[in-house]
Amino acid sequence: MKKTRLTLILVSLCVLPLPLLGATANYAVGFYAGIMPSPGGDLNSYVQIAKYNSSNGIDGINKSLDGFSTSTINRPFGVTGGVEFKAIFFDYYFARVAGNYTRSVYGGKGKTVYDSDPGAPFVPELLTAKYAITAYDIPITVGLCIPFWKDVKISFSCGFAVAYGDYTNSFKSTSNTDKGSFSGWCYPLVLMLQGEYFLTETVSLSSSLSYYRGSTEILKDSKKSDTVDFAKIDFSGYRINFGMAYYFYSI
Amino acid sequence: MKKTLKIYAFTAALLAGMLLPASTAFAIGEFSLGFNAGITYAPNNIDSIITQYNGAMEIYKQTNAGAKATQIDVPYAPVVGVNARYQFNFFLFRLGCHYSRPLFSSKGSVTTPGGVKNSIKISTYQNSIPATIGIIMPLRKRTYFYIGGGGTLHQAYIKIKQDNPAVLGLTNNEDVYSGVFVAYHLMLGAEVPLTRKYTITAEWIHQMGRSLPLDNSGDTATPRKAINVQGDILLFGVNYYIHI
Repeated sequence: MKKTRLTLILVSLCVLPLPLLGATANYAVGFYAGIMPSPGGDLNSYVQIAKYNSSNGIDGINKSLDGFSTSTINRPFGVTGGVEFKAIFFDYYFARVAGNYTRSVYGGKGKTVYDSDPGAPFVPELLTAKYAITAYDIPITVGLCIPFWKDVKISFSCGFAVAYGDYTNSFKSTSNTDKGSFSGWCYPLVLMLQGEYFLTETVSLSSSLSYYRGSTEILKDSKKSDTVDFAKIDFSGYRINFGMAYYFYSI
Repeated sequence: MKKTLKIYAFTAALLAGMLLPASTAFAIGEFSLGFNAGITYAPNNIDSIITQYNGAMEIYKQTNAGAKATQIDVPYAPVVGVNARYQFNFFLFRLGCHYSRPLFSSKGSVTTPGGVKNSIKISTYQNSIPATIGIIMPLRKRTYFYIGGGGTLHQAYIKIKQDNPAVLGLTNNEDVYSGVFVAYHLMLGAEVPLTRKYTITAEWIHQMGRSLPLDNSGDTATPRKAINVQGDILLFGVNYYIHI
C-alpha cells in the first residue's frame, strides 16, 4: 500500500510540471550536505521503560553511582546529504523534490548503571548502551521564492516527506543483553527555508534549514533472540545543509 | 468560567489595541484581511497519546498469544482561518483565527484471544487566536518575508472513547479534556503580490505551550491531564489590502 502511494506521488511529480513547460519556468539540480542534531529524538523503546527504568529513552537512561565508571550517553549527532530538483515558476513560485540520506555518526553510546533486579533490594549493574539511526527520505515541498537584487534568492516552502528509517539499539550488562532493530515508513511534515547566492547566472551556492515533524507507528523489534522490543522512529528535527545548484536557464 | 472570561477580555483588549491604529486616518501603513487554509500534524500533540495507546496495544498483543491489535494512525489535519494584518514600516501586526480538526477520527483496536474487542477512537479539535508582532523584510511593494511571534489563545479539545477499556487495564469508557488557555507561537512567512490589492502568503506557525492539568469530563473526573499544543501549522492564504 505504501509502495503504491509512493509510486503515485513520484508519478504525479513527474507529470505535474508538464502543463507548465510553456510558461515562465526555470529548473535546477543540486547537491548538498550538512548536519542533523539529535536524529531520532529520544530513541525511546519499551525495553528501556520496562527493564532499564528510562521512560524517556536516551535522555533518561543516563544514571551514575559511586563505584561505577559511567560515561554520558549523548543524543546522537547526525550527518545528512542529498540531491535536489527545483522548479521556479513565474519568478516567485517554488517546488522542490529531493532525496536525502541521514545517519548518526557521533554520540549515542556510553555506560550507565541500572537496577538489574527491580524486585529485590537495589542490585546495580553497569550497562553499556548504544543507539544508531539511519534515515532516507524524499521531501516534496512547494512555496514561494523571492529574488533579492540580482544574485540572491530566498525560498520558503513546505510539504511532506516520504521517509524510511532504521533504528538500532543495544544494551549489554553482566546479566542482560538486549538488542533492538526497527524499520519503518512514515510521511513527516516538512518546512524549509533556503537561501541561494548566485556565483554565475546559472550556478548558485545554497544554505538551508529544514524542519521535519512526524514519526512511524509503533514498530516491533525484528531481532528475535532476546526480549521483544517496541519503538517508533521519530523523524522530527532540524537539518542544516550547504550545497550547490545548477540552473538550466539563466536567472 | 471567570478565568475564561478574563482571558477573553484581555485578548479582546489586546486585539483592540493592535487594530486601533488601523482604524485611524493617519494613512501610514497598510491594512489587509485574509483567508488561510493549510495543514497541521497531530493537532494538540495527540501523537504522544496515540503512541501510548499503540505501545500498550502492541505489548498486550505480544504478551497474550492470539491477541490482535490495529494501531491508531497519527492524523494530519486541515486548518482553515482568517486573519487581519496591519503593516507599519518594518513592523507587522497580525491577528489570526484558525480552526483545525482531523477529517476523520483516529481509530484503532485491540482484541483479546477470547474475541473481546476494545475499539479506541480519539477525536480532537483546536481553535486558536494567534496575535503576532513581527518584523518585515520588504523586497518590493507587498513582497515580504516576515518573522515574528506572540501569544495565542487556544481552545483545545481531546476525546478518547473505548468500548472495553479493561482490556488495557483502564477503567474509563470515555475521557474528555477541554480547556481555554494562553500559549505562544513563532511565525515565519512570505508574501507575494498577485494584483495591486491581492497577495498570496505562505506561513509557518510553530506553537508552544500547554494547559494546566484539566479535569476529565468523561466518565470520571480523573485522570486529570494537560493538553500540549506544541506543533506546527502550515498556512497558505490570500490577502486583500484595504486602502486607509
